[in-house]
Amino acid sequence: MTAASLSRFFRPEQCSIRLVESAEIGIVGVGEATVPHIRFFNQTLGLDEADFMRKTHATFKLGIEFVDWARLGDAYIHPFGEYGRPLGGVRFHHGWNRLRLAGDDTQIDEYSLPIMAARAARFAPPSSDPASVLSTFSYAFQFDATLFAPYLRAYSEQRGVRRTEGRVVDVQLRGEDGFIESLTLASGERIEGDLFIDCSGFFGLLTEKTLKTGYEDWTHWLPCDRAVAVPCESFGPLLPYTRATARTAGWQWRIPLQHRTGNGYVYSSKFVSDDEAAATLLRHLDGKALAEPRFLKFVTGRRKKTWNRNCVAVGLSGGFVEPLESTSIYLIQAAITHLLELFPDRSFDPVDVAEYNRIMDLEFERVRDFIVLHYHATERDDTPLWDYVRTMSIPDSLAYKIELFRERGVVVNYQQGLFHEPSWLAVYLGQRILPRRYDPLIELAPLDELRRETAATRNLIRQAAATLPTHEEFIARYCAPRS
Amino acid sequence: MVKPVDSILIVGSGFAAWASAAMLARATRARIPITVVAAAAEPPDDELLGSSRPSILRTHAELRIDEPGFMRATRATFKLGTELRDWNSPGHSFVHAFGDIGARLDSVAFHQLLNRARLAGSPVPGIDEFSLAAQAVRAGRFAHPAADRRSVASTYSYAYHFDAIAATGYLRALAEHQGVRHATGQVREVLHHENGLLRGVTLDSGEELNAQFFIDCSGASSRLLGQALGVPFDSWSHWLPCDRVVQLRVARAAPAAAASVATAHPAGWRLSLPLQGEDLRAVFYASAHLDEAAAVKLLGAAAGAANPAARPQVYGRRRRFWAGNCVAIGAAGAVPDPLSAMSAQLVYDSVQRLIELFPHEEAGERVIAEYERRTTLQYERVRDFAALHYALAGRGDSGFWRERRQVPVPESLDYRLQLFRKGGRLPAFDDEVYDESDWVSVLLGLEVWPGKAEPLTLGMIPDQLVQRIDRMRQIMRQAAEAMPAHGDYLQKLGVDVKRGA
Repeated sequence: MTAASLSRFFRPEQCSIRLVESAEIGIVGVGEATVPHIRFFNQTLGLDEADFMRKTHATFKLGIEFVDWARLGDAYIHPFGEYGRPLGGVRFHHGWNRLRLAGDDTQIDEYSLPIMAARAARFAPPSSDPASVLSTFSYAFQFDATLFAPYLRAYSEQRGVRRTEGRVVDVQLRGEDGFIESLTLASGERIEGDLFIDCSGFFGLLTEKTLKTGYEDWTHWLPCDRAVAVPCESFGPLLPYTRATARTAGWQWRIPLQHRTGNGYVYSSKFVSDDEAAATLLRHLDGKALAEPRFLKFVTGRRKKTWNRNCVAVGLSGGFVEPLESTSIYLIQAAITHLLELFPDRSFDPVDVAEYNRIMDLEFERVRDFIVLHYHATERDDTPLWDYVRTMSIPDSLAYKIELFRERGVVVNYQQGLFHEPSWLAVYLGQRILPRRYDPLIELAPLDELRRETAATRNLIRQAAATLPTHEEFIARYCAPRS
Repeated sequence: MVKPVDSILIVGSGFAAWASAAMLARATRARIPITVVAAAAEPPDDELLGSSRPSILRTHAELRIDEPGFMRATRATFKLGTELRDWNSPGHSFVHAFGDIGARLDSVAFHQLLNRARLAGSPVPGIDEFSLAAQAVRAGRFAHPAADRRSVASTYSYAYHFDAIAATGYLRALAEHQGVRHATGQVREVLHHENGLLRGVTLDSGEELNAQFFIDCSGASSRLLGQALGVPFDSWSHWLPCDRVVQLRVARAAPAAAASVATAHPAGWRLSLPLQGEDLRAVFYASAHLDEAAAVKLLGAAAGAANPAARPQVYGRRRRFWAGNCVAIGAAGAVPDPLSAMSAQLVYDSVQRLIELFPHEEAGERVIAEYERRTTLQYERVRDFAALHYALAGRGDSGFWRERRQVPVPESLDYRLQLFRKGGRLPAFDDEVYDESDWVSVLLGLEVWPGKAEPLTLGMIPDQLVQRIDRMRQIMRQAAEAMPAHGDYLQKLGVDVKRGA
C-alpha cells in the first residue's frame, strides 16, 4: 500500500522507491475486512472498483456483527451508517431512549438501513439523492489480502517502483546521528536510502531490531496475544458483513469472501492453549476447512515513535490493535496519508516528525479506546478472560466518554481519527451501556407523537431495505470473476 | 422521566440575550417559559460584533432566517473577508478572504507551490492574488458562490457585515414571536438558594422573577456568573494587548466594499466595518502607548462632530462558563478580540452547545464538564487566531509593536507557528474553528514564509510552476471581474436600504 501510494505521488526521477520483500515474512491476513476509508484509498490510486473486487474476490461490507459480547445470546451490528432522523432538532437516539425508558422494546437496529439490509443479506451502493433513506449509509469491502498485495505490486511496478526479493541480513547506521544508511541483503547487495519505511510486520526489523525505538504495551487493556486462522468453504447466503463472536478466551472472526470464508480465533494465551483454541475454531466453521490452521503471535500496543530518525513504521511494525473493528488497513492508510502531508527532506525536521507522531498516537489511541470499550462493557463473568476485562481499569480518555454516555447519552465527538457518533452509539448500546437519561428537550414532544414518528421511520427503512437486491445477486452482476 | 428545567431567565438586553432567547425558544418549541430581563448598568453592546464569518450562514439556516429580510433589517452588506493594512509596514496591504487559495496539485497545497517558486528565486505575488474572494474584494465585486463544484466560482464563501443593534431587534422579534417574555425593569438583586444555586432576581420595581436555569448575557460586567457567583476573570491581555476602544458611525456616500478594513496603527489597530450607507469605525489601542485624544483623532471624524468617549475593554474569559444552574453567554463569559470576527458566532455556538447539553433538573457535573471542555477549546482557537496578528505583524516602528515581538505566544499557537515556519505545514487539531486557508492567508499575508520548500515540490520544474501560478492568478482575476459590483448586486437583490426610506 505504501509503495503504491508513494508511486502515485512521485515520479521515478523525483524520488526513487525501492521495495525489499522477503517471502519469509508472510502476509497476515487471510481474509481482510475494512472500513469505508479504503474506498478513498482506491479512488486516490485510481483503481476501478469492480476490477479490484473481482481480482481480490471481494464482497461488500455494511458493518460488523457482534455475537455474545455483553451477554451470551446477544447480537448487534455496528453499521456504516446513521440511526433514524433527528426528532425536532434532537438527536434520534434520545427519542429512542425515552421510548425505551417508557417500556418500548424496539431495538435501535430497526432504525438503521444498513443493519436491516445486512440482516436480509441485501446490498446495493448508497443512493446519491440525500433525501432518500437509501443514502444514509456507507460501505467497505471484505477481500483476500494475499491477492490485494500482488494487485498493488503490479500497480507500483508499473509506476517505477523497483522490487527486490531478498532477505535483509544487516543494517548500517550513520555514525554521527544513528540514522539508517543502508541495508545489506543475503545476496550481498547493499541498498542505500534517505528514508526507510519499515513494513516488516510485528518484527519491526528497522524500527525495533535496529533502532530500538521501544514499544508501549497495551496488553493490560487488550489481553489477547495470539490468533489462529483458517479458511473454510462458504455456506449459506453471502453476508454483507463481518461477524465477531465472543469465545471463552477471546473472539472469532468470520469474513465472507466470494469464493470462501475467512475465519480466525483471537485469544489470550493466558486463558487458553493453542491446541484448544484451534479446536474451538475448527468446531465453529460454516463449512469444510480448506487449509491447516495457522498461528500468529502479537503484542497489542504501539511503537513509542512510529517515526524515529529516518525510519517510519507503517502497519504492524508501528503498532498492533486486534482486528475487531477492521482497523489494520485503516491505520496503514492513515500512516501513509500523514506521511505524505509531512513528507521529509534530508534534514528530517524534528517539528514535522513530532507532528506526525502526535497524530499517529491519537489515531492509535482512539482506535484502542473503541476496541477496549467492546471488552470492558460486558456483563459476562462466565470465564476468566471476560471477568478480567469486565473489572479491569480502563484509559481515562475512555472512562470520560463512557460516563458521559451513561449519564445522558452524550457521545463525545472528535475530528481527528476514526469512529464517529453512530459508531460509538452502536457499540455503547450493543454492549448494554444504556443511558440513564436522555436529552430533556425530547420531553417536549408528547410520547404519542414520538411513537408515530419513529414507527414511520421504521417502516420506511424496512420497505427500502426490501427493495435492494441480495448481496449475492449484486456481486454476480457487478464483480464476479469472469469464467 | 428526565425533566428539562421548567423555566429559564435570561439576564441581559443585547445581542447575546436575544440570540439565546430566539435559539432556545426554537429548540424548546416554546414549551419552556423563557423570560428576558435587563441587567442594571449593562455596558452597551459591542456594535462591532456585526463582522461575521461564513459559519453564520449555517446558524441562520437553522434559525430559518431568510437572507433578504435579515439584510434589509440590519442594513447588512456582504463580507468576503478583511483587508489588513499597514500590519507589515505602512502602505502594505493584503486581504484575508473566505475560501480556497489556488488549487492543490496532487496532494500539495497551493501555498507550497508558491513557496517553492519563491525559494527558486522567482518573484511571487501576494497570497491573496490566488483567492477569488480576495480578488473580488479588490475589484469591489460580489456574487453568491456557484453551486456547481466544478466552477471556480464555487471556491469561496461569504458572511455579512450587519448592524448588531438592529440584529438584536430582529432576533428579539423572532424570540417574542415564539413566546419569549420580556420583563420590564432591571435587575436589582440576585437571589440564591441555600445550596448556592441561583433562585431568582428582584427588579427595581420590587417584582421578583424566579427560574430553574439562568443565562447570564449581561455583557462584560457578568452580573450573575462574575458578580453573584464569584467566578473570576482570566485576562488574555498578555497576548491581546489593546485595552481601550473608541468608536463612531460615519456616513458614507461611496458604495460598500465587501470586506472590513483592519488597519494597524502605532499602538494597536482600527477597524472600518461597512454597512449600507455608513461605516462603523473603531480604534483599538493600548492605553499605555496612546492617549484618548490621539485615539479619537485616529477615528477620522468630520470636524465639529461630537467626540466619542473611549471605554475599557479587556479580552479574556471567566474561569468557568457554567456554574451550578447558570451559564454565561457572550461577553459575560468571555470577551474575544474583534480581530477574530467571531463575536456573534461564539454566542450562537455557545447557545447551540447548551441546547445539545440542555440542562435537566439536576444538571449533572459531567454534562457541565463537557460543555466547559468544548467551549474552552473553541475560545482558545479563536484567541490564538487573533493573537497571531499581534505577534507576527512585521512593523517595529513603535514601542507597542516592538513589545509584541518579545511576548511569547500561547503554547498551542507556538506549536502551529513552528510547524508552519519550518515547512509550511499546519497541524491537524480537533475542534478547529478556522480553516487551513484562513491560517495560510494571514501567515503569508504577514509574510511569514516557510523556510524550506515542501519536498513533494522539489521535482517540479520551476518554469512550469511559475506558469501554473500565473495561470491561477489570471483565472482568479477573470472570475472576479466577471462578478457584478457589490453595490449593484445588493440593489438587484432588493436588499439595499434607500437613504431616508
